[in-house]
Amino acid sequence: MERTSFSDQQTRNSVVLDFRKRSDRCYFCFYYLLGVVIVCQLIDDIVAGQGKIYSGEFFPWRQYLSVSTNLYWLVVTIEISLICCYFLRIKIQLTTVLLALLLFFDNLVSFLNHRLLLAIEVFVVGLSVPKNCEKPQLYWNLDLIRWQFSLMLLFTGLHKINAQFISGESLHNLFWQIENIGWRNYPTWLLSFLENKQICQILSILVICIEITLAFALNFCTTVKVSIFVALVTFLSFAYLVPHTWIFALQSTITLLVFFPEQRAKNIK
Amino acid sequence: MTENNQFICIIIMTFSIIHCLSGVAVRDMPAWKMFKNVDRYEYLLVDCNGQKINIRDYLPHRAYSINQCSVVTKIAKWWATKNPQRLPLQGKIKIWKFDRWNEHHFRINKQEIQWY
Repeated sequence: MERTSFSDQQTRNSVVLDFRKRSDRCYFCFYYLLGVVIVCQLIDDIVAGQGKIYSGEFFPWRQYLSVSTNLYWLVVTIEISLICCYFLRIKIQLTTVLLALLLFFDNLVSFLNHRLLLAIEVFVVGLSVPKNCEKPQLYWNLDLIRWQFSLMLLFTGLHKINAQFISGESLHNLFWQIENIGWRNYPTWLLSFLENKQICQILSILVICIEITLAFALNFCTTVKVSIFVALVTFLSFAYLVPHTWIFALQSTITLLVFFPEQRAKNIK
Repeated sequence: MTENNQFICIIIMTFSIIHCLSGVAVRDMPAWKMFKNVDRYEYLLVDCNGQKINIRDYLPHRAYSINQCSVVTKIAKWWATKNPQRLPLQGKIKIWKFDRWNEHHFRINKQEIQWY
């Protein structure tokens, strides 16, 4: 049995913080799907006009790094090269670190929450790579992604505990804005539903409860399958109700793969 | 799991937790605050020639940063530095608060914002 820094007793007692053994197939399934998200993000950035933020034509919202020249296409070229290396599995560790740094750099020019999560996931996924072993291995880095994602869900829920969100006003305003801008034309029955402030209030409380509960429930073996189902429904509903968030929904759905129980580390002999 | 890997694990999670917690204290820290506060507002920005300015023309089409009304004045100030020849810029923001619209007027002249 592979040695871990956790003793058997600790592992037995620990549920949320346990390490899980996974097959190489599971690892590569997550690895390639994450690659698909990176490609989608790159295409979306180009279509959205990320280059105009670099050149100063667009408002530099949440810009932590000022770029004076038209650096964007250089960043895109390097990113495409690294994505090719990523899919061809050329020097996985180096490629993922460089790709994560590039995504992080891009985020300093124009911040996106899910791009930061993507940068973390890409960085972490390359830290431990399969060694062509038939037996399931301990991919501690996938567990790290699991905890990171849980942490994100927890804080997303906790930050929403404020008077404006709990009263349903934030969601009510959000749907109003989406309709007003013309991003989505909800069906009449759904619109009447979303325009009802009391329903928005119930929806808000439900969102907070789901996010905080999922942060824990996804990590328990007994609740993981139900939680994955609830999370899937939540992400898909979110992608439909709130336009332009489909990459986040896709990324979150793919991240659910690391929660899928294969074997707990203590069960492997 | 080697000591090094465990160290990396601890470092990443520590930074993540600091990032999340700092979001509580620092208003502008992103820290997974998606859709925490969304305002209902309408705005009107008009330059010295009477031409309307649409802030969405200066944001990526998917930008949700627009969901807080403070973004209007931020973009207006930024726009003013880019187009000094089209100043002064007149602005009006209507914010829905406590079941009624509250109207605010401002003027931007050479990077200075005056509320009235």
